[in-house]
Formats: sequence, C-alpha cells, structure tokens
Amino acid sequence: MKSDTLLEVRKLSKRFGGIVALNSVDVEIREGELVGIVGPNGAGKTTLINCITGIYKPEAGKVVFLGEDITGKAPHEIALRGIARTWQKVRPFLNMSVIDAVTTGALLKTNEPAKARREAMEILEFIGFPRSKFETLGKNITLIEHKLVDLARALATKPKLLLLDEVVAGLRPSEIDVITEVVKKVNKEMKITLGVVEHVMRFVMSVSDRVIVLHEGMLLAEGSPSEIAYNPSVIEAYLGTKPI
Amino acid sequence: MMMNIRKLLVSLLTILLPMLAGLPIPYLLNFNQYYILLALQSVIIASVALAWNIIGGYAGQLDLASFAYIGLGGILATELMINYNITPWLGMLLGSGISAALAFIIGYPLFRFGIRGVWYALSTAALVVILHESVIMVLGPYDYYIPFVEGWYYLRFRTWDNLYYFSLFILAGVIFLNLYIGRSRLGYYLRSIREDEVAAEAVGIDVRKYKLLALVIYAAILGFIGYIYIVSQRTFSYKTFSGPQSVYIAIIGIVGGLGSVSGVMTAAIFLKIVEEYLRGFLGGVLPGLHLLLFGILLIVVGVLRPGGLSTFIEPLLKRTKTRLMGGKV
Repeated sequence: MKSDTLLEVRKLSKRFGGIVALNSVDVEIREGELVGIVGPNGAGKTTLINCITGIYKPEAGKVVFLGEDITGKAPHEIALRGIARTWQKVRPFLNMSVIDAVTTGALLKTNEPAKARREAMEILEFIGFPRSKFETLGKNITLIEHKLVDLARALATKPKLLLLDEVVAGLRPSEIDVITEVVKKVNKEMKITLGVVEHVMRFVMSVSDRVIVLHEGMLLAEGSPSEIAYNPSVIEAYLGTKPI
Repeated sequence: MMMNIRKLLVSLLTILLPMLAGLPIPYLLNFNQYYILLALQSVIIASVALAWNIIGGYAGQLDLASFAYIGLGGILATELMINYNITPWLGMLLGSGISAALAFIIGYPLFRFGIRGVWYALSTAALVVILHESVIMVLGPYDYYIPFVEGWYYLRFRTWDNLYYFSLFILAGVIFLNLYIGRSRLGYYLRSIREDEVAAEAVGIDVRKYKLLALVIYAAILGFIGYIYIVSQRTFSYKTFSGPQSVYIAIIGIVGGLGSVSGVMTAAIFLKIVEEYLRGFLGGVLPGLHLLLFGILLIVVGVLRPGGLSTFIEPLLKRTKTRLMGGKV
C-alpha cells in the first residue's frame, strides 16, 4: 500500500439474492483526490458506497481506511473514523431547522452545542447556503437546498473522505453548475478527499481528477476524464454495440 | 455580560413560571379539595407527558408503556411503605431504579433487533398488558386502599394541598430535564433519530445507544412519579398497569406537539380539564357521551393543527420572550 492511499477497497463482493451487485471490485482513493465513480444504471455504484460506509455488509473482500480494516463495522463507527456521505435520495431532517441539522453533524467532534452551531454556520456559509434560510425547517426548503444541507451535514462531521451519491440527480443545469463549484471548493479549499458517484457525465467529467467506471458490478475502466470519454468499452457499456 | 445575565434570568423564569403560576392555585380555588385533587392530577399527568416527550417527542419512538413504569415504580414504593414502613422518599428512588432497569431490559433487545415504528408501539403496549396479567397471577386481582398514615415521612396528608405543592416541584424538575436535554448534544441526537435513523447513523450517531438512553431516562422519571400517582388515585391495584391510560399519555404528547415542552404541558392541562368537565357535565346524562365529545375534540385538533398545539403556542412564547430579552432573540 502506498503512503498516500486513503481508502482501499479490495476484491469487494456483494450479492442480493441471485443478483451480483459487486463482483470482486478493487478501488483505491488517494489523499486529496477527487475521484469520479460512474457507470450505467445497476452498475453497483451506490452499493459500493453502501458497503464502504457500513450500510451493507459485503460477502467478501475488504475495505481498508487509513490502514485499518473497517469491513462490516457499523455506520456510526465508520463515520467516527472520518468517512462521511450524502444520499442519492436526500435524507433531510424535515422537522428540524437547517442550522440544527448541520449542528447535529458538527456534534460528532465536539460536545458543546454552541461551538457546533458556530461551525455549522461557517460550513453553511462556505458552501453558499442563503443565510436567511438558516432557521427554516427542513420541510420548507427546495431540492437543491436539501442537497446543500445534506452536504453541509456531512462536512460538519469533519471527514477525511466524503462520498457523494448522485449529488446532482434531479437538478436543473444551472443548479448543477452551483453544485459543481461547491464540490470543487470543498476539494481544493477544505482539502477533503472526495468520491463522487454520478450519473450526469457532464458533471463528473468537469470535476474529477480521475474516473472509475463500474459496469454490472465489475471494474470496467479507470483513468483521467478524457481517457475515459474515448474508451471504447466504456462507450459500449453506456450506448451498446453497433447494430449489425 | 448584561445580556447573558438577562438571558439566564429568562431561562430560569421559563422553568419556574409554571411553578409560580401553580402555587396560588389552592388559594384561588378556596382550598376546595375536589379542585385541588384535579389540579394535582393535572400536574401529575403533565409531568408524565413531559417524561414521554423525551422518548416520544424528542426521539420519536411511539412508546405506549408509560403506565408499566409508573405502576412498577409506584407499587414498589407503596408496598415498601406498607410492609416495611420505608419512607416513600427512598421508595420513590428505588421505584425509579427498578423502572429504569425494566426499561433497559425491554429496550436493549428491541433496539438491538431494530424494532421501530408501529412494531415498537405494539411491543411497548404489550408490556403493559403483560405486567397487568402478571400482577393478577402473582398477587391476585387485588385493589387496596392505602392504609391511612400521615405526614411528610409518608408523603400523605389529610388534604391534597401539600401533595399538590410537592408535585409542582416534580413538574419543575421534569421541565428542567426536558429543556436541558433539548439544548444538549443528546437533544440534537434524539431529534435527528426521530427524523431519519439511517441519516443519523451516517453522521456518527450510535442510534441504538441514544434511543436506549432516552428510554431509560423516561422510565426513571415515571418510576419516581409512580408513588405520587398511586396516592392521588387513593387505591392501588393491578389496574394501575393501564393500557388506555398509557395511550392517553401518548395522545397528549402528540396533540401537544412532538418535542415541545410548552405544547405538551398545555395539552396535558387543557385535556385533563376538558375531560373532567365533560365527565361532570354529561356523565350523568348519557354515560360515555363525554368520551365521544373528547374524541371529536382530538380529531378537530388533529385536522386544524397536525403539528400539535405547539404550532401556535411556541410563536406566542417566542414573541413574549423576545420582548423580555429586550427586543433581540
């Protein structure tokens, strides 16, 4: 293992009944990187995140984070070690205010609500959440705001690695641009390593340093965004083969 | 600095206010024992509902076992007093301990195996029934008057005034505990568990541990109150383990507004008074009619204020508080 490796996934397999969602997948994420993880529907992207963050227990393989084997640990233990995540379908705290939701995340690393609240405000401001809506209840904000709050809540736990699960799904192009800027800022200015699972190619290609392609639960290709865009097997996986 | 002292005073006032408001009530009611007993019962119900607020309101677990813990703690304290002449002051603490222990024994496997939602509600409802039946099996279907003893040593008196004042202290304690938890890390964690357990777990919250903690705190308070409840009922029996009463507590917590101290307190006192009034007014005309009207009232509240009474009480309180603090929140 190289010294700057943050997360190493080795020969990870996960089955749901007869369906193989992940088939012996190897992934490595290095410190400071912004890695895009792409693939067609059902490729196993979300399953990969769920296995890393402890939501699912993999049947085989290992997840090593900072040299420690975290395979099969409970989600809250993994969060404590420094892996945070967001959700494909946002999981807002509907009856809590925006600031309270983010404060909850910040309370992982401090005991004092007042201090956590200050940190939460800083993070919300950093990602450009409108100040006037800090006290708004979760049920009264829009989808993009939910996405930002989910992101802020995860950031508030001060992670070393942040996994974003389809963070721009369902957003308009102009909103995607907003998220693109925020994601880049989180990586460059907060120096947080990011794993971005995504469907929207335009977004992944514009933010990632390196792209990993999954297909039917297996690793299909890996490389820089431009290499991936012209990789024949990737094009085939996405669009199918030419008609004869 | 001035601001901080002012803030502190206002917070203190919030806790003491219900107590201060409650103190002159016996005098205002002309020491009418029936009304004072009613006031005592309202204060007890408010305390119980506020204890429920910790597990039901903050943590969002629809617990229907409140009278299991009240009964267990209360009967222990009462039996110790009758049989061994042990003061209820000690008995109440022991009752609190045994109820907390029961909550741990029940809660651990429930949360370990991820029982939640309606299944949690059903399991806790079953707990009351199990205790109800077990007590009948072991002790028989008894219904005792507590032999008459008097004085602060026994916390029993010829009139209800002293017990009423005592119950005000308990209420103030439970309010304090609620507000303290609400502002602490535990409060944030419990509320986030109520909103979304999976998301809470992903920001590093040990969901199982905190739910269990909330359940144990709730049960400990109820075990403590148990003796006072039994004394206010004059008799104690297997009937103390009452399923319908436990559901009633949950109704108060929901009608008041989940997690809202002011809402739950208002609901407890308001519903108790309305229920008693309807019973006195209509009980003789057509027995059972008061329950029907009471049910309709609950439906009206549910339709008009699905978020609970707190949705109009809290803004009102906030405005008053802002004014008291000098115009700034």
